This record gives sequence, structure tokens and C-alpha cells, in this order.
Amino acid sequence: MANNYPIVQQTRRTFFLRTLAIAGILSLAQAGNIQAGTLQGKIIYHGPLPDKEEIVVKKDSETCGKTREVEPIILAQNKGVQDVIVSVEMEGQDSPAKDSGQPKTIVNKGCRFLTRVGTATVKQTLTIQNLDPILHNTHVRTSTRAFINVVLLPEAMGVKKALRKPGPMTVKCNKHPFMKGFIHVFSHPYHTVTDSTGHFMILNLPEGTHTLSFWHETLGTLQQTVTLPQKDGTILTIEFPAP
Amino acid sequence: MGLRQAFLWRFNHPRQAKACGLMMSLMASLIFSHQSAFAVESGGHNSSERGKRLYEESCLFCHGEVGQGDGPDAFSLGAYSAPRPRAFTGGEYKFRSTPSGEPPTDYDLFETMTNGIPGFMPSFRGLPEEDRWAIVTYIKQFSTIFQEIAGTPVVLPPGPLPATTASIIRGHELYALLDCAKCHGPEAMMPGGLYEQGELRDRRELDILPRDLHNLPSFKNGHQPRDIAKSILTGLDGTPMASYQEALSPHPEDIWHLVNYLMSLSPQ
Repeated sequence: MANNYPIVQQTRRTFFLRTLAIAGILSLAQAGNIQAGTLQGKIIYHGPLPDKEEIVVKKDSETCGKTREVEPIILAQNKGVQDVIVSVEMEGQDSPAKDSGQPKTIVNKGCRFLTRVGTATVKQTLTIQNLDPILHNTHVRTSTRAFINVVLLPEAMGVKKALRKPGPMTVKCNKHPFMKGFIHVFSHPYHTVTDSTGHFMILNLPEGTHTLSFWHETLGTLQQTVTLPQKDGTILTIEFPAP
Repeated sequence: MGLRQAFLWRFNHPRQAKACGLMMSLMASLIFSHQSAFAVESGGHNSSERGKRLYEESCLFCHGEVGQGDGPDAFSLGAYSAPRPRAFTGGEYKFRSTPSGEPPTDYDLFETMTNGIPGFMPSFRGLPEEDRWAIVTYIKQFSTIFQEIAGTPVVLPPGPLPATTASIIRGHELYALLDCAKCHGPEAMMPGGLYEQGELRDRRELDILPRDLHNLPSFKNGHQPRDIAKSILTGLDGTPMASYQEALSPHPEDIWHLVNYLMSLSPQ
């Protein structure tokens, strides 16, 4: 019986090592799935560009500048469109999986909203800050009602409020009407906004066929079906038609 | 000839039509308030049916059958006149004791109905108290917001404070510091620059006037110190008037100095 003891130990050790190995394989497989579930794309536009609007700033121009240029479409040299909200259509998913990594903070800085166009997930907290030396009010509205309309003192660290319902919201400063922004709240984490070159990436998307929605404040809405996993290095290219 | 044309045909100016509409609303509310008192005495209805009947008698004329703010009197205002009767279906209320974005409390709704809105909505104080509560319950069923969020009243700092000269001077400073002039004009002489630029609009994008701060009795949300403090701290949702709760949080007692300054503007 005395000799059996080391054998038992060895068996336990082997079992432990095998368990570790299986867990490792599983996690690798999962990592593989995550890789396969990554959706990469680019939004482009070749149509005519609307004229830029130049607004004369009548008050607080020492902070806001004397004029403000508003670009209806911000286009990169490679024809990529900035600030397109990209999301996956997912009906009936009310429980968010986890944070998608997009910013949920609206910062008033230089009389601009940073981030001007953003996405968020239900149950996350929206923080509104003012880093300017002047007063701002941040007026966030859903399609039917005020989500919050609050005045922020200069360099105020901010107000926080939980996002409860999915849907698009507009962001305005009534004191500086040229300040406008958008935030779209989703009930799932599969959403993002295109960067300055028009590129986007959504991580951890389940395999299968999905309908993607693309929304731009001037160009409108597009939809496209995509099947995951994509081949390695595939970048989906979506072109907005001219309005 | 449509109803609108037929109505306007009787008047040379839409304002006359609006005034007539308001008169009709007042007459209807007086007539119906008498009927309601009778109905309470006769009894025999459950609360929901009673609320519906009372709403249809007292509120439908302006707020519409299903609470969309589109009753016959709203129709007579014309499509581009503001402010319009509240659309209860949107779940957005100007007059609240709750933070911006939250629904009003039951008592807020009861208070608005009881006091009316000077120049716009008659007082329904003539209705028995239980009838007004029945209407509050009925109005709430037009929007799901009341099931989603329980509005919690903001806590007013201790006050009001005495309207001393020092307090009024501090209130005057706050008026400038908090940029009140952008809407209400320098020295509260309306209108402010944003109104002149056509930037003051309601949720329907209709132009609205900032309140004349030299006419205390015209304050829509009441003109007692606590009423004014409530409007400033909670904001008037659906309008550019934002909540100043955060801005006044470093010195909460400042709200009473601001109130004292605003109250000093009206002739005593």
C-alpha cells in the first residue's frame, strides 16, 4: 500500500496536467472563434461633397473661435467616411454582453463635443464633462423626450447618468447652437464608429449571417448582409451612394 | 370647407381664434367640473373608468383623445403656434420637481392641474381632489416612462433666504455668471441674443419665447420662491431651459439668492 501513494500522486498530477492542456486547447479554440468573429470594414463615398458651412461665432469666441466650419461629410483622402455608426441588427437582445470599448463620455472642449458621434450599450453610464473655461449646457434627447439637459460650470468634472434604453439620441448645446453631436445606444455590444480613414472593426461577433446597419448624419442609412467568419484579412467595403 | 378653415373664417386673426379656443376650453371645464362633482356623488364607477371619463370631460379638448396634445383646441392654435398642449404620449414634462430626464411625480401632475398654467391652461381646482387624482392616474397610462422610472424629487437647500440687499446683489451676479442673459436678456430684459437668432425652440422645433422675468404672476411653473427654485434646478424638459442643479452644487444656497434677484425684478 505504501507504494501506491506515489502512483496516486502521479495520477492526480497527470489528471491536473491533462485538465490544464484541455483548458488550453479550449481557450485556443475560443481565441480562434474570437478571431473568426472579428468584422473589419471600410466605408467609402465617391459622390459630390456638400459645401462646408462657415458659422460666425458671436459669443465666447475666445474659446470657441471666431468662426466654426461645419462639414456635412468628413472624407479622408482615400474616400473613407468618418463618423459612420456601424451596428449589427439583433432583435430581442436586451441583455448587453459586455462593453464594446467605445467611449461613453461626452466632453465639451473648445466648444466641440468629444466624441461628436459615438455609440454606447444599454446599462452603461454616460458621463458629461466640461473642460472649457466657459459655461456649456449639454442637451441629450431621445426621439421623443429629454434624456438630460444640464448646465455645466467651467471645467466641471461632470454629470453621470445610466443609459437605460436603446435608440438614437442627439446632443446639443443650446448656448452654442453650432455644437451638435449624436450618440446611438444599443442593447448589444456589436457597434462602433468609423475612424478618420473610414475604417471600423467589431470584435467577438458570433459566427453566422448578420445584417449590418450603417448610419451617417448626412448620407443616411444603408444595410448589408455579411457572413462570418470571413477569410483572413478580408475587409468589407461599403460605398454610400450619392444622396 | 374644413373645420380649421371654418373656424378661422369666423376670425380675422389667428390670435382671435386662439383666444376663442381658450374661452371655449374654460367654459367646457367649468361645465364639466360641475358634472364631475355630480358623478362623484352618484358613484358606481371604478377608478380607471372614472379617470377616463373625467379626462374626456376636462382634458380631451386640448390634450386629445389619446393624449397626443391634439385636441380640438390644439387644432385651433394652428400647426405652428407654440407652446402647444402637452403630448402625454411623449412622456416629457416641463413642470417637475424631478431631475432633467425623469418623469414628474404624481404630486407634480396634481399641482399643475390644480394651479393651471397662467395664460395657457385653466386651473382645475374646481374639481374635487379625488377627481384630480383620478385624472393623474389616467394621464400616466399614456406613456410607459412612469413604469420605467420613478421620478425622485430634487432636494432644495434650506430656505428660502431673506431677500436682503446683499442677497439680491449676489443673485444679480449669479444671473450674469450662469449666462441667464443669453436667453432672458441682459438685466432680464427680454428677449436674449439666442431668441433673436431664432435658436430658442421647443421639441417640435417651434420658436418659443423665454419667460418675461419682470412679470412674476406669468411664471408658468408657479411664482412662489420654491416654485422658481424648482424650475431653475430641474430645468424645463422639452425646452432649451436646462437644469442648473449641477452648476449650483458648489454653493447650493445660491439658488435662493438667484430667486431673490428674480423676484425683485417684478413690481411689488
